[in-house]
Amino acid sequence: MIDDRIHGVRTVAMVMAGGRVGELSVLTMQRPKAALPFAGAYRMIDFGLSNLMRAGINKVGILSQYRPASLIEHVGMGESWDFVGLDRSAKILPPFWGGDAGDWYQGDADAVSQNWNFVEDSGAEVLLILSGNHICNTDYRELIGDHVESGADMTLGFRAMPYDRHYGYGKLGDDNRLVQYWEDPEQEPPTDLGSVNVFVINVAALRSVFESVAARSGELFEFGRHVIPYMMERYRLHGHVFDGYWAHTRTIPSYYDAHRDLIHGRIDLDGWGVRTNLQDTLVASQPPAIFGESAAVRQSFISTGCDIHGEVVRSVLSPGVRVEAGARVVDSILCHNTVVERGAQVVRTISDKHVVVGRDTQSGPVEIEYDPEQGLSPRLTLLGKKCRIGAGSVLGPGAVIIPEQGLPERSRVEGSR
Amino acid sequence: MSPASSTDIRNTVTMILAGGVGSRLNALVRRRAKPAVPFGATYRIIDFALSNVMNSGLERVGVLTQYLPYSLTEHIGDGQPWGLVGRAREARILPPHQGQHGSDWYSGTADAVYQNLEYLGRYSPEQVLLLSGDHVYNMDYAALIDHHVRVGADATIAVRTVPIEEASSFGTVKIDADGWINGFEEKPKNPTSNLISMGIYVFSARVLEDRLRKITGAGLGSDFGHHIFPMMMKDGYKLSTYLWEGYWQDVGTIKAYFDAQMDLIDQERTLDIRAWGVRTNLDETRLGDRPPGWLAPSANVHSSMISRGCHIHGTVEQSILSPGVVVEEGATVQSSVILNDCRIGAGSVLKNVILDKEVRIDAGCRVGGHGSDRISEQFPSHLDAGLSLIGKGARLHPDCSIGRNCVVTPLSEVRGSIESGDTVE
Repeated sequence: MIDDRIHGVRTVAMVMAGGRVGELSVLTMQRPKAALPFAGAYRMIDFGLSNLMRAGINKVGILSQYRPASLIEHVGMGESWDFVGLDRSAKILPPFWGGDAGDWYQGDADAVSQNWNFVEDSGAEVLLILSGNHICNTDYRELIGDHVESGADMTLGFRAMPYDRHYGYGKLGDDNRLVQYWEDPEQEPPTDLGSVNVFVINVAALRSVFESVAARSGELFEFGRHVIPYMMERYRLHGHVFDGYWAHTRTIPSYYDAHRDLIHGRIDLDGWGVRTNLQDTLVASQPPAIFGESAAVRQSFISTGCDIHGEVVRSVLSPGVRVEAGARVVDSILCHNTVVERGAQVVRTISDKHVVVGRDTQSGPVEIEYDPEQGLSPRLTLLGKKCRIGAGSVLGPGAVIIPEQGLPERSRVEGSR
Repeated sequence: MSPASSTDIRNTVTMILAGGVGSRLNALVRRRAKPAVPFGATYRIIDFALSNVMNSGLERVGVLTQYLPYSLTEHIGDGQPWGLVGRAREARILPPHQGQHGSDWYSGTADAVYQNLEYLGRYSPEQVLLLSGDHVYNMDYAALIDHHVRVGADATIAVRTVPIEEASSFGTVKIDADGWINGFEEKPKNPTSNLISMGIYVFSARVLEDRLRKITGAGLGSDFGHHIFPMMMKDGYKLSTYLWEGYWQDVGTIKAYFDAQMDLIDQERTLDIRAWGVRTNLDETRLGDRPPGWLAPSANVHSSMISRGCHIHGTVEQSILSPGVVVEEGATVQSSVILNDCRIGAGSVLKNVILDKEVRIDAGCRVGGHGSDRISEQFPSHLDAGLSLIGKGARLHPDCSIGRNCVVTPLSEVRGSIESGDTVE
C-alpha cells in the first residue's frame, strides 16, 4: 500500500459537486455547478481535484446528483490528476437505492452518510470535504496538520469575507476553537470569518454522529444547518483560517468577476498547477488557435481551436470559438464552439457551448462603460447552450436566452433584470 | 470508409516505418527522429500517419523505430490519443531486437518489416499496410486497401505526379493503361517518369511474408524501393498503383518543413488540420496542462497559430507558436516557426527563423531575415533558402545579430554578430 498519510493520518476526500444552483441561471440547467466551464478550457472542479492531487490525497469521491453526465465524462478514471493506480482512485458517487439506504441526497451531510461505505472502505482516519466550485490554490496539508495537532474532532475552513447571508460564519476562541456558528444569518454576525465549506472530520466522530438517534430520525441532512450545531454541543470543533485568493462561483456575477480576476492576473492557472481532462472531446480534437489577417485581440485568453478574424477585448474564449471578420467581442466569456458571425457585437455576455450569434446581432450594451475597479457587473446577457440568435437581433443587457432556443432574424429581447 | 471494405480494414495490420533519420533537417533531428519532429505548433510529423490510420478505421499499428526513439516512444504512449486502445486495437512500438537469426539493427525498410514478421503473424492479417512516418498528408487508407483487394494485386503502391525535375529525389514508377507497374527506378539521375512512389504500400500478407523470407531472409535485399519491388516485378507479381493527388509533403528539408507550416496559416487554409481530424498526444511533457494563450494589452497577432500557455506582449505575424512561447513587449516575430517554451526578449526582431524548443533570445536581438544571401558554408544543401535555424536550448545574449542561412547548434551560447551562412557550434 502506498503511504498516503498526511501528518500521520490517512485521509480520504469527498468533493461536493452538488446540485444545480438556481442563481447560475441557464448555465446550470444542464450540468451541476462543478462542471461549469471556467477559464476557457477548464471546469470548476479542476481546482479542487488539482489541490487534492498536490496535497497527495489519493482517494477521492465526487458526490453529484444533478445531471452528472458531463462530470462523469470530465473526471473519467481520474487519470488527469493521477488518481489511477494501486490504492488511488477518483469515483463519482451518484445517488442510488437498495439495501437499507439510498434515496436522493437531502443535503451534503446526507450525501456523505449515504456513501459511508466509501469512507469506511478507504481505511481513512480523516475525511476531507470540499466544494467543487471554489477557485483557490489551497494546500490542504496545512489544514489537516492543524486538525491533527489540535486534536479536534472537526476543523472548519474559514476566511475573512464581507457579510453575505448565504454563508456560514464562525467565531473562534482561544486555540482556534469554534465557539459560535451562524448559518445563513439574517443579520450581520459579530465576526468576519465566513465558512468556505471545507471540513476535516475524524471518521470515528462522524461515524458516531451518523449512528446517533438524531441522524436516524432524519435531523442531520446538512453540515451547516444541522451537523455543525449538533457537533458543537458534543464534540471539539476548531477553525482554520485560509488566506490567499479564493472565489466561489455561486452566482452569475461572481462567475463573471472570477473571469475578470483571471484577466487581471489574480488567478495563476499555470503557477497553481491546475490540471484538466485533455481527452474531453471538445478539447482533444482542436488544433492550436488560428488568428486571421484581420484579427485584433488584446487582454484576452484564447483557447486551442479558436479561429479569430475579428476583434476580441478583455474576454475569455473556450476551445473552438469562432469570431468572424468584423465581429467584436468585449468583456465577454464565450464557451466551447460559440460562433460570432460577421458584424455581430457581443458585449458583457456569457455564452454557453455551441451558441451561434448571427450576423450584425447586438448582444449586451452598445456602449462600453468599462471600469476595471468595478466589482459586480449586473445585467449580463446570458446565452444558453446551443441557442441560435438570428441575424440582426438585439439582445438587451440582462437578457437571458434559454438553452436550445432559436431566435428568428431581427429578434428583440429586452433585458429581464 | 465504404461498407464493402470494412472486413478488409479489419483484416489489415499497419506498420509505420518511423526509423528515418531525416538528416537534412539538421539541428531539428540532432536529438529526435524525423517522425518525432514537431510540426504545426502542437503536433509531431508522425501524427499525420497515425491520424490517417485512426480516421481510416484501422485497428492495429506497429511503429518501427530505430533512430533516437525516446521522444517517439513517449509520444505514442499507449495509443490512446488516436483511439488505438482496447482488446483488438493497439499502437505498439517495435524497436530493433536480437533473435534467433542473430540480426539486430534494421538494415533497410524491408529488413525492418522482415524482423517483425512474428508480430504480423500473431494477427494473421489478409493485408499489410506499410507507411512512412514522415509525411504530411490526409489520406483514407480504406479506399487504398479497397482498390488493392478489388484489382487482386499482390502489392499496391500509392503514387502521385510531381514536376519531372523533382522526380529524381523519389522512387519513380512506370505503369500500363490499367495502372499495373511495368518499370521502377529508385532516385533516378535522369527520370523518365514523373509518377513517384509515396512510400505507402499495401501487400497481400502471404505474398509479403513469402517475399521477405525469400529475398531479405536470404540476404538478397533489404529495401522495398531498391530490391523488393523490382525483384517482384521481374518475377511476375501483380503490382498495382493507386493514384492520389491530394496535399502531400515530404517535409524532409528545412525549406519544405517551413513552407508546409506556412500552409497552415495561409488564406486558403491549404493544410487544414481541423478538417483532416489530426490528433496528437496532449499528455506528453505538459503539452496540454497549460492555460489558454494570453494576449496582453500590447499584443498584436495576426495570420498566425498560437498555442496553449503562450504569453504574447509583442507582435506576431505569419508565424506558428508552440505551447509556452513568451513574446515580450516590443518584440516582433515574423514568418517564423517557434517551438515549445522559447522566450523572445523585449525589442528583439525575428524573421524567417525556426527556433527549436527552449531557445532563449535576450532583448534587442536581430535574428534572421537580414544580411547577405550567402548560403550555409557547412551545410550548403540544408540551409540555402534564406531560413536560419536555432537549435534546442540555445541562448542568444542581448543585442545579438544573426543573418540568413545560419545554424546555431543545440545549447550554444551566442554573443555578438553572426554573418549569413555561418554555423555556431
